[in-house]
Parts: sequence; structure tokens; C-alpha cells
Amino acid sequence: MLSSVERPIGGKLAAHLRATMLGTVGEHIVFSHGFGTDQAAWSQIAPPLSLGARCVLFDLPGASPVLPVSFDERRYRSIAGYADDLLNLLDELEISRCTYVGHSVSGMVGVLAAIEAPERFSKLVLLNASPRYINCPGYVGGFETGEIDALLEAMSSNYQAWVAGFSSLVMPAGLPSALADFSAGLPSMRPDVSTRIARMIFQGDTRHILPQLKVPTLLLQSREDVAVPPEVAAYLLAKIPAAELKWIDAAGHLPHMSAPDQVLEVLRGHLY
Amino acid sequence: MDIFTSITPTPPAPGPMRSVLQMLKAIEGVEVAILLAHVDGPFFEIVEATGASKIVGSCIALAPEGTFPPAGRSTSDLRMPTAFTLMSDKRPSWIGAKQLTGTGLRLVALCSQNPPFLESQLEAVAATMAELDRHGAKSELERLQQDRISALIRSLPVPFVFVDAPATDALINADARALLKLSPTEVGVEQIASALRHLIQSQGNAALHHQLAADPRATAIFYAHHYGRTYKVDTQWIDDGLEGRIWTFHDISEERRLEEELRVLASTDHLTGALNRRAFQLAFKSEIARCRRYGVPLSLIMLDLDHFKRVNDTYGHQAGDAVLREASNLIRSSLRDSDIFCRFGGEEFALLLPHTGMDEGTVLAERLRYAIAEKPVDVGSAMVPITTSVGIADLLSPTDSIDTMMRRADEALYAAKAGGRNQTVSASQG
Repeated sequence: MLSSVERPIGGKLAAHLRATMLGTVGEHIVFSHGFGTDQAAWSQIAPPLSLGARCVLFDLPGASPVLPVSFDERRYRSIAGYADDLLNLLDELEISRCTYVGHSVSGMVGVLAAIEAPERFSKLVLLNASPRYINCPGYVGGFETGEIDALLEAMSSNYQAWVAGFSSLVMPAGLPSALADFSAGLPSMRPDVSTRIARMIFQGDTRHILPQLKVPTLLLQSREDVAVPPEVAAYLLAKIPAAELKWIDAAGHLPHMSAPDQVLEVLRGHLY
Repeated sequence: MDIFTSITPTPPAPGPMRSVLQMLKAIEGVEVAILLAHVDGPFFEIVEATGASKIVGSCIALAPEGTFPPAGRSTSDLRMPTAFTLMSDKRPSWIGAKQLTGTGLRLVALCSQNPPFLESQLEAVAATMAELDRHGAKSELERLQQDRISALIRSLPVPFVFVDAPATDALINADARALLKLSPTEVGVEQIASALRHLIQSQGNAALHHQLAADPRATAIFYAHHYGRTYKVDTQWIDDGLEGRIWTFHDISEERRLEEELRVLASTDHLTGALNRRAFQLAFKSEIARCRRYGVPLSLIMLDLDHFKRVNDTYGHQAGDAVLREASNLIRSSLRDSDIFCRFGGEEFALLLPHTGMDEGTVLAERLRYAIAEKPVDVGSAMVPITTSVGIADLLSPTDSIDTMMRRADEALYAAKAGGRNQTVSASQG
């Protein structure tokens, strides 16, 4: 089917981000993956949607297994760098308005971009996103500072061992194929880069910016997500002015890979 | 400035820049004030920022490069780095950016509303900061250079002292302090200079001291014996941005000791301590030249122990060695300092007597012959009597050579042997 064929698109930045498009008609849906995966994470979501929409897929430099040739880590010392990329990509592709679906760290990337340029987004869908991973007074992020430090320490000292442990943590038990997809990506990442990006993600705090988000936002959150506890979803719901929360009845941090049908169903209900 | 207290690096002055940013931020409407340093390409490092607690990473990419900084303007139609929005809590509605003239720095003011200041006021702030930066950079550079020099001198593997031209400042490392026996409290240039003067004068190098006083730019190399060590001291005037006198010290004590040891090893006979044949030849050469030049007499004695082979065969080689040592000691004790004594080989000895003619030489030869004969050598199992045969020759004419003198002395010795041993024969004088 023509619409399910991926086409490379755009100019310099699109090449840098390895952007591709699925579908030829309808609104633009921009998908952005989370740490440790690449655009293939959407392989069970985007193709079905591409029948009625143009799905833009790309890789987050440094967060996905293969580094772009022109990768410069300085650009990605803050998630703001990814937000800049996203807006520049929309400029380059001449997409004036889109729906944005972001998983995990990409959720907050979308929030930032939508605060910066609200006119470019008709809706945000944040999949298992978190504005802060570390607990602090009045906020449950899921991790104590020491735990994050230990995680990052383990990551930089023995990357391969960390990958094995982390993969089984974020994926639910009993889903070997999805787990294989995820854990196949992580080991091929460059440990130095991914450790730095992980540090940036896990130590970041974007809570203060949430009230500025004016774009309607759909929060999707799976249960038993080791990275993002339910309190975080509740927090996002409370702080984002136009938010709605849907629970996905699946375990793990990667519901779009472990329970794609449910995710797809919710998306269909909200997008068209 | 006292180098010894300035050795500890001082931290960079806590930014007056930050104060200026805070003042800018205090203006109503200003959300965040940022100082950026251009790194390369689109990258800018955040040097200072107000409200820096909002994490945005240390680097901001500004693309395209040409459009930044914009003049103070509304941001409604302007693409800004998202980091600015993150730092301001919301999308700023006004942005002012100024390049700090003469620096790679840019001042950015992010405002939540059109601020009550004019473009020119932002410019004035930027000018002030540029001025601050120039001062900061200059003193930082000076401090850095001073630190570098101090670090360099500290880590020099040789004792090193520098005294500047007006003798108001000195640089010295720990090795030099130890060498000059300076106590930890003696840090002043006067104390260092005084220790250097003492070093020179205690060496009887007063002339050198005068020379350096007379010509402050003189270069000198001298040897100093200081507290049991020997140093090669090199001192020279430098005038290369820094003007003054540098002193370096090379401890050559060990070198000197080794040299002396090697010299002794190479020139003496191990058993008797007498010169070996090679050293004797060298000494002979210089003595014969000297005596010829000054027209003074010179005598050569060749002395051979009689029947030495028999001693070895009868009492063993250890006994033979004892006899050789004893004979050497007896000979040496009869000689003057200027006489040269050599074990020529086997049981044969040679004596070179400067300022000594045939008559005097013969007297000495006879004295030696008697002394040896009178004192049998105790070889443990027996007292062995020893006699000697002696030949003597003297320097005859200015054309006389080592070879001819040696030949005549040898012939005389042979004659003494042939004549029945235990006797002295003088070489014919014609």
C-alpha cells in the first residue's frame, strides 16, 4: 500500500534527524520517540494511522541507537535543544500545524516547543512523560537522588550490564518480542553519549514551565511504569491547563510497543 | 608584589559581571539577564545568568548565526532558542541582545513585557560589561602568567633563583632554598641576595663578586663548595621581557667524586698503589718537558727485586704480593711529594726524580737498596730477606728523550744484575 511506504523527506535538518513520512493525505502527526529507542518504536502505531494522516517520524540524536554524522553533543545539553530541532524541522518541512505524539523525554520536548510556538500545534499527546524524575518535597518523581546517581553510575561503568537490567525494568514481563526490539537498540548506542543524555533527562526539571502550555494535551500513561509513577501523570494533569488523562491498561514504560492496540485505539478516538 | 605570597593562585574575582546582570534583572519587566560567550559555529556557552537554577544545559545553539543578536524587539515573529523560554518560565515577549565590543560575549535581556528602558540603555550596560571584561581578562591573564612562571620554577629540576633588575623581587624554588640554607621565614629578596653573596665570598670568589658588581650584565660560571657539596654555578643576566639575573646550580659532587675515583683507578697499580705504567709514561712526558724547559736536572731510577721468582715459588703468590707491597711502602716512604713512583711491571719499579741529578739520585737509590735489604718481609711462615738491583740514569742534554733515558737506566740495571745483584749502577754520562 502506497501510504505505508516510508519516504525520506526534507532538507538538511530532516536528514540529520533521519526524518521520514508515512501517508500522503490528511493532517500531520509528528511522532517523537523516547530515550533508548528510535523511530522504529512507532512501527505498530504510525502505519495504521498513515491511512488518514501524514505521519512524520524521526530519530532523536543521542537518544537513539545510531548517531547522526553531524552530531554535536553541545546542541543537546538541554532538552531545549531537542525542542529547537523540532520547531526547525516543522519549518523545514513547511508543516504549519500538527498533532504531536511524544514518548517519555519527547513528551517534555513537545511541551517546550508548544509553549514556544503554540500556533504550530493543534494537540499534544504525551506518552508516559515526566517533567522530573527525582522526588522532592511535595512532588513524587519516582526516584531518590541516590537512585538516579546509582543508575547513571552503573550506566557509565558497565554499559552492557546496565542495558540488560534497564531493558527488563522498563518492559513488562511476558513480552519478549517487544523487549527484544528495545534492548536491541540500547547496546548499539555510544555509552559516553547515551550516559550524558540520560543524565540530562533524569536530572532535568521542567515543572515550572507546565502552566505555560496552552495547547490541548492528551496524557497517556501505562500502569506499573518503573520510570514514571502514577503520581507524575496526576501532577501533569493538574499543572497543564488543558489536559486530559487516559490510562493504558498495560505494564511498563513503553506501551506503544507492548500494548500498541490500546494506544492506537485511544489515538484514533482523539485524532480524527 | 611578593612572589612568595602570590604563588597561591587566587580564584577569579567573583563576577562583577554577575552584579551587573542582577542590576539589569532588577529593572521591572526584565525576566532573565544572560551573558553568553561565543564558542564556535552556532554554539554559545552560558557564562552567567540570573535565575540559573532553571536547568538549560551549559550551551545554547543559536541558528542561524547571522540573525542574532536581534535589536531589542518584540518576539512575536521571532524564533528564539527554546532555552530562553525555559529560563524565563514563559515565552519572553521582548528580547534585547547586544554584542560586547571587543569580546566574544553577548548580553541578552529577556523581558515579559516591553521594558521601560531604551535600546541605548541596554547598549550602555553592554559597554560597561565590555569594560569589566577587559579589566577582568587583563588581570586574569597577568595572574595566569605569574602562576605559570611560578609553577614552572617550582618544578624545575635544578635549584633556580631569579633576582629582578632593581633587586626588589626574587623568584626561588625549594631546591635553591635548601641549597642556600634559607629558613622558611627568609623570603625577602634581601635575604636571598645575601645568601648568594655569602655563597660567592665563602668560596674565595671575591673577585667574581667584584666582577658581577662592576658589570651587572656579566655572565659567569664558577664552582662553589658549599656545605660539603660541589656546585657548578651558572649566572647570567637576562633581559627578555623580564630583566634581572638568573642563577642555576648543578650539584656536581657525585660527578667530581666519580671522576676522582676513575682517575685513581685508571692511573694506579691495584696491588701497590704505585702509578701504573701508562700513568707513569704521561707523568714522565710532562716532567721531562718541564725539566728541559727550566734546565733543571731529572733522574730516573729503575729498581728490580732480586730473585723474586724464587720468593713466589717457595712461599706462594700471596707471599710474593706481600713482598711487593712491603717494598713499595718502603720506597714510597723515602720519596718526596714531587717524586713519581711507578710499578713498571712484575717486580720492577721506576722512580722519576725531578730537580735531582745523578749524584743525589744515586744517594737515594742506595738508601732505598739498604732500607729494603735491612728489613726482611714477614710472609707469615718466614721472614724473607729481599735485595734489589738498581740502575739509574739522568737527563743529559736537551735532546735526551724518554726512550733514551729509559734505555740507559735499563742498561745500568742490567749491569747491576750482571754484576751480582744487590747493587746500584749509574748509567754512563757520555
